[in-house]
Amino acid sequence: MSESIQRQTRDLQALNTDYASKYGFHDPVDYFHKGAKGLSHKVIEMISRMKKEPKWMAEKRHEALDIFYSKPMPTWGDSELLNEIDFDNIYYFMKPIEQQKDNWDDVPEYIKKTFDRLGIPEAEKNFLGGVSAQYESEVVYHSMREDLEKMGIVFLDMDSGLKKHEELVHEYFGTVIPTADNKFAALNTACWSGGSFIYVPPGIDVKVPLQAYFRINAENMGQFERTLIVADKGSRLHYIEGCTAPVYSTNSLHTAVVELRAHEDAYIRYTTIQNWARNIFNLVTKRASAYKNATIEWVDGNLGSRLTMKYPCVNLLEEGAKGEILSVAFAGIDQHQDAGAKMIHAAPNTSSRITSKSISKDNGRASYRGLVKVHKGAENCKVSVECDALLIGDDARSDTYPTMEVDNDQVSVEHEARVSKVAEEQLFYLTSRGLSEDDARLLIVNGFMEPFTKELPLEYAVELNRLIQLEMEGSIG
Amino acid sequence: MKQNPEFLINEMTPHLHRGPDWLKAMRRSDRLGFNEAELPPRGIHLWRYTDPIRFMMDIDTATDADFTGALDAVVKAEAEHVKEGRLAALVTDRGGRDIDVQISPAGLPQGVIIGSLSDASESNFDLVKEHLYQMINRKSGKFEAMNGALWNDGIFIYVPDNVVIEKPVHLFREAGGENSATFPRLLVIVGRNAEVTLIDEYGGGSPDRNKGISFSNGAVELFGSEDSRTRYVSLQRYAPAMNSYFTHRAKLKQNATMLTIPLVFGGELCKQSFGVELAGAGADSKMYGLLFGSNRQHFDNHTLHHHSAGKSTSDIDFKVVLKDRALSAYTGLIRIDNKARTCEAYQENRNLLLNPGTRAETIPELEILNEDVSCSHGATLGPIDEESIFYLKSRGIERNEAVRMIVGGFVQSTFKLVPEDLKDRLSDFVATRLETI
Amino acid sequence: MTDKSPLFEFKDVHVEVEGKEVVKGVSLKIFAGEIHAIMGPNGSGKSSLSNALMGHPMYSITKGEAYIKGESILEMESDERSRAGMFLAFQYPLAIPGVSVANFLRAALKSHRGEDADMSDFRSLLKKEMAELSIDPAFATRYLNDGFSGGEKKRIEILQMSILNPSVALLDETDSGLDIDALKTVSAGINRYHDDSKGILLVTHYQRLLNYIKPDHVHVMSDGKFIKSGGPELALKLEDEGYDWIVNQTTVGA
Repeated sequence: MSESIQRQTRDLQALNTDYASKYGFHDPVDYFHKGAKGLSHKVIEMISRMKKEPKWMAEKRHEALDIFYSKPMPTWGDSELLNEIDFDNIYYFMKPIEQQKDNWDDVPEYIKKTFDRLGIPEAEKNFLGGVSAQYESEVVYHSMREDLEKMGIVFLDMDSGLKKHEELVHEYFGTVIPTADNKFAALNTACWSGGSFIYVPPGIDVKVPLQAYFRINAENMGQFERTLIVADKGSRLHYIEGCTAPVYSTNSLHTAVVELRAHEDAYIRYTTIQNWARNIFNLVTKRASAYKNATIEWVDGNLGSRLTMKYPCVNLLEEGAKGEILSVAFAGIDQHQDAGAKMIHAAPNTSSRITSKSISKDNGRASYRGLVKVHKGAENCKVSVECDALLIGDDARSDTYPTMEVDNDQVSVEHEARVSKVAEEQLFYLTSRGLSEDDARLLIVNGFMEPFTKELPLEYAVELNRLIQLEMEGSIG
Repeated sequence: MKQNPEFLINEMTPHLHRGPDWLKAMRRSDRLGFNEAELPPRGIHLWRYTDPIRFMMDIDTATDADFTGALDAVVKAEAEHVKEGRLAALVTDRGGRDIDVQISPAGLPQGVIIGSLSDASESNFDLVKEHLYQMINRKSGKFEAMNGALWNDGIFIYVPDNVVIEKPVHLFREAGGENSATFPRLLVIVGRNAEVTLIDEYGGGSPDRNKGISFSNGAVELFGSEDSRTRYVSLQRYAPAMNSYFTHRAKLKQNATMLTIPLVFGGELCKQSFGVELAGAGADSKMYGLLFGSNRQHFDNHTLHHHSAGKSTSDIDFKVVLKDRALSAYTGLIRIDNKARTCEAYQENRNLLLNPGTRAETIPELEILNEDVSCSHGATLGPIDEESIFYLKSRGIERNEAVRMIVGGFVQSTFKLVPEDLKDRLSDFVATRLETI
Repeated sequence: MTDKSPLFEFKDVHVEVEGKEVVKGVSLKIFAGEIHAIMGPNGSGKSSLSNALMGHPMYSITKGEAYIKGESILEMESDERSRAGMFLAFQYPLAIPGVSVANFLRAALKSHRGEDADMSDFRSLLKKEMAELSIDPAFATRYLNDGFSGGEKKRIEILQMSILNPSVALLDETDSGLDIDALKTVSAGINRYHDDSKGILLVTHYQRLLNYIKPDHVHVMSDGKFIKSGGPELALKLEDEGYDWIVNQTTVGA
């Protein structure tokens, strides 16, 4: 390990003593704009007006709100928990500062401190090509390395993206995930704010990751970022997203929409490490379209939140497209991680792989919900799905709900799932070498997660292991 | 007989007025259950692949069962087997009207009851009342309630404690021809340390869609007492224009074992659910199923292993072979309750697709509510291996034969799990169906 | 007799597995520098004894005492026994998927030393020990015992022993599943580890390991008891004549 990484590891470890002190703090803030609670066409109008956005977008929002109203709550997943959401008790738009900054020194001290504590400026210095930091509804800090900008790469927050590249946004916005796709996609379309807009020109390989960090600070806040990433022919990109929020007694809502388009021969990897506080409802729609010989990889780490419902999807639209979804979920006390994956094979010779790992601890519940669909004519497809669940404690729960629909015979589909607990024999083997039982259990859990963590940049792998350690500490069933 | 999404069971339907008062009350309750229940929503996975309207048959427009006679030869052959002592008994159930029992010359062990369910509901009042409708009733679903209200006569089997019936009992249920509706019902009670093997065969129905379809809605309840050993084969060989709905539920007490073999071959549309609750420590349930689909057959099968007691074990192996435009949806759920510790549960569903145009869906689900389990499931879907066909052809075997050999090999891994004596009886049925592949 | 106290000692140890008594009162003293071998037919209780001494949860010691350097181990968890200086080379080492050999050893070493080993020191130590045992360096990054052959697993056990450097090593059928070359490498590893300060307890069915590792004392175990003790010559006699004579002899004598 290089010295800087070692130092960083140390820093991360020092910071990460527990969620409450590392992420759970909140800032007392004077917002530049803080609307009233609740959602209405009036609120949408206000958001549109403040953003000075084009008419077509405003119309899209209003139309989306009507769709949101007309669609019933999902009856699957955890409908009981979902119905706890009080849509009238949420702030739909909060603007912390008037103008976005591109220098950390210009960001108000209290916000800068937040991101300092989260280690963002440090990470930017060390290994990122660009950083976007969203606080409540808007991006407060944004910057990208100059050399990347010169290559023609566009990395903006979504609001600026709409202003500066209206045509591109108009062309692609809502094409992968239509407004009416689901109730929460409609909600996001109605009141979206912030998120990232990325365009990578043909043939460009963005060798360093770009990162966005999403922070909810206020109580009863609804964060609705909207991300659109377009990788043009033969380009390559790795995008990383991190999320945290303070601990409050009442619930906040995070409802993002993320659309990816990988054109011919392009490659996008989208890595998420979310570590929400235990009172966040996290209902996110993520979908990607992969064209000829393109590759999409979702690497999705779900920690924290009260309820997460998230099923990243890849539409394999043209021959040779590849999709990979690698997800982990950790469900601790009173948490339900309802996460999964969708692969839609709409063209021949496409391949996909889903690897899902979940850990349920105490009374936590982790569900894998997946769909593999192979359309007629999509011949010679290869699909493999692997779900592993680890249960810790007598009341932990694991569910597996995979669905496989195959409309032609020239396809090979494999699905395997296993549910296990930390085996006594393994614990004994490790403790007989001097490890304490807690350390041994943690080592086994980390080993269980290893196929996931090895896909993360080192800094994030270290962070994730620390987060798991925090989750593992204390009561073990 | 017409489909009618608005169909309600009329109070005057004669079936509702059969049997003693308690039974009439149950029938009326299930009638209300049917009439009051909404159609199951399509979004829920159990109905994702089959439109429930296809089972909303207007029974009032059904004609009386008109038996085709196509099965007489089979029944005759089985009757010979009874005489030779190769079967313990043969029960023929024609459209729920006549229940006829033939018993092998050796007779049945003392105390065994095999006969009409209607008769038993009067003569063995307590036993039947205590068990009938316990697992399948209006709470199970709209179509379960439909059977509960409309079954006419069914079969009752009781094996007292410590009694072993060594040879299989063959239940032959014949449905009527076009425009007929039948509601087969079976209640089986296997006493402590008792043992029985049942081959529950369903046949008949309309051979030709153009003349009209036929409809069958069956229900089977099996109770396995402590240490009992039950083997239950469900052999579905309906004629091509039959729409059938079928519900099977079993409950096993301590150390009871059950082997369930669903053989799913016939009909046009066939939706079935096989469910076993493992309600006692040491209970063990195995299900080994085979499905062959061809033409435009539509199959929708569900299996459930519900572990409500600890130290219970279950295993499912369900194999599907499809050709032409056939469709098979399989949903399997393993549920292990929080208090059911140290259970083992396995489930495997493999699908072999012989040509483009077939469609297979598989949803193997797990709901595990405690950590102390060993549980896994697997599912595969895939075409027949062209390399293997090539290899066989290169040895001079023609393609169709090669395909049959490979399909035979594919199902063999499941079929070899079937006990020898049963395998002998069943291999003809499997081979006959395989011939048509 | 001597004022030297034993390095490792157990007295009248009884072991139960699933309610069945499999070791029925055995006692032994191992002094620093000594190699003891327990031999016996299959099912005689040898492996149960070593597992129980290491604190395997399935094997309970229902009666008796056991000490390392005068300290009682029976109340210790198995990790505490390890840190107190005990080591068990397993007959069937388990696979721990996802945990690499190197990470595992580093974690184990840290638990022994109470602090992280210096990365470069650790690397060179690991490299050196792996070379001594003819283990391909690539194994450092492979998952512990995951997909390893029987012989590879046994070498990894000895690697762990050389790195953790315990005072007392219990080697449970370490020779089983080894071909002649592997047996030589593994024996050399054990001999390299052994010095005046260490004690070894070999548990083995066959004499062939004893061609490479010379025991000072041999104990024959049968039906949960030590039925005969002697010098290395006892092992040779067992090899030539099998276990029957001795089992019969004690039965007659009893």
